[in-house]
Order: sequence, then C-alpha cells, then structure tokens
Amino acid sequence: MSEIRKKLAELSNGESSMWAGKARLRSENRIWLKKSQAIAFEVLEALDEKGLTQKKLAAMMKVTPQFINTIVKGNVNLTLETISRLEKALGIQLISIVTFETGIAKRTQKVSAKLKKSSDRKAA
Amino acid sequence: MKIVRIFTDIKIDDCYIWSVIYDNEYTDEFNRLFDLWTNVEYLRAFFTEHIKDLQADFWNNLSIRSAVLKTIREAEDFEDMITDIEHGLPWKGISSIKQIFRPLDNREYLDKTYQKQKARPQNNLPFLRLYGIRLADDSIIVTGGAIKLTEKMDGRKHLMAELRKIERVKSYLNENEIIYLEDLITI
Repeated sequence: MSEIRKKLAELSNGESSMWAGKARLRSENRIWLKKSQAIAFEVLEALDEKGLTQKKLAAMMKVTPQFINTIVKGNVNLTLETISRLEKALGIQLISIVTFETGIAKRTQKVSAKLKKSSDRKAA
Repeated sequence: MKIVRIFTDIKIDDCYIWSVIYDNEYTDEFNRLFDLWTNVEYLRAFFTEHIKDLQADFWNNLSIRSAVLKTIREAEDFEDMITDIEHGLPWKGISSIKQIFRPLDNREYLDKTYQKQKARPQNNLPFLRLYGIRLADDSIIVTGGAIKLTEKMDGRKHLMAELRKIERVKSYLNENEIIYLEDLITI
C-alpha cells in the first residue's frame, strides 16, 4: 500500500462517504424518482404563481411543513392520495392516468389522423 | 476537516478517490454534491438566481425547467459512470477513476502532483464539475464541485468558493504531512 494511502486511511479513521449507498438507491428507484422530480417542480411553480409558501400549503393540506419540504426536493415516493391532495390544494393537474376510455379515445384519434394523412396525399 | 474514502467495497490499496467533510457540514462533499444535484428545490432556486447565465448566447436562453432536468440527468449519468469505472466496468475506454480528472487550468496538459483538478460527466456541454487535488500516488481528493454555467470561474461567487476550498484542503494535507510523503513514493 502506498504511504499516502496509508496516511489517508489513518486520517479517515475508518469513516467513509454515504454516497455509494445513496447512488445505488437513486439508480434502483430512477423510474419513480423521475415522476417525483417532475411533480416537485410543478408544485414549486404553482406555489410561486399563487404566492403561497410551503408552510401555507402544509396548513391547507393538514400536513407538516417538513413533509411538504421533502416533496419539493423530488425524492419521495408519493402516494396517489398525496398527489390528489396536492392537486386539489394547488388547483393544478399533476398526473393524468390513461384509463380504459381515454386509451380507446387516443387510439381512435391516431387512426383518424392516419386516415386523414392518407386521403390528403391522395388528393394532392 | 476530515478525509473519508468514497468507495468502501474495494481495498484501500485500490482506493484512488477520497472526499472531504468540512467542519459544520452534515456529510462529505461528494455525497453533499449529488444530494444537491438531484434536489429539485435547490436546483430551481439556483437556476433562478443564475437566470442571466442561462439567457446568455452560449445556453441559448435555456429555461429553468430544462436546466433542472438537464442537471438531474447529468448527475445520474455521472454517478453511473463513476460507479461503473470504480467497479471495473470500462466506460468509453476509461478504466480508472483517476482518468476522469484532469488539470483544472485548461492551459495545463499534464497531470502533476498537488495539482488542482476537475472532472465532469461525459454528456454534451455538461453543467456539472467535481474539483479536487491530485496526490503523488495519483489519488484524488475531491474538495468540492459546482454547476458551472460560465466559461471562466472568476466572476461567480460559487465557483470562487470552490477554489478557496481547494486551498483549505491543501493546507490540511500540508499540516498532516501528506505532501511530504510524496518523497517516499517509488515510481
């Protein structure tokens, strides 16, 4: 072992960074973290637009300011209930769910668009 | 001030990257930076404060929303890269973590002992920077990092603060006689 590394090991006194474990968690949970981050941004935008503080939002939702603070950091696995309550308190839509009805509507729209393109090409 | 190793699942002898815990900080710099770079509230506030830099020609009037998203994605890629390299998975020809660091001053081409160093993700035009000091055995001590929106460091308080951190760590290494150990290194 190099003398420098020996000395660094002594100075560190066996202590190590918390980073590796957190990086692994971030990597494993990336799929929902992306959504949490997007929601955090929208909540912050809405707070600014409405002139609300995090404390005021917490009071409206009957939760602690600390809870709102974790939400706006964008690293919380939010429940549907919390998301719905945020939407109601802020008067915004944070997520939209593809339901059976909207799924059919979307497919119908796509087919109509294709047909229109094809008939436009024929007309031209 | 304290020094900590960043990776615990490799032998000390293979440990080339270390981090610093400054007094009154809750964690070491490496951990603190990636916490910040994935914190939406912090990023939004940062880019709001530095909106004039985003509006400059170089960034083509990038929106705060886009800047926040870009930073988070870069941090993810940076973490993946560092983790893979340190666990022996080559990343675009890079096989060791010390290879991602290079001289902080763009006018210097060769790595030197006790030199100020920087590292950045491999993304196109990255925001993120890690800063550190290269030691005689090629170990890197990460002294800090930043979101860099301007070509030069001077003129931006948060970037100048990083340069001061490097000097503080140099003093610490000097006080703890690490700088003198380079005389014992057999190359």
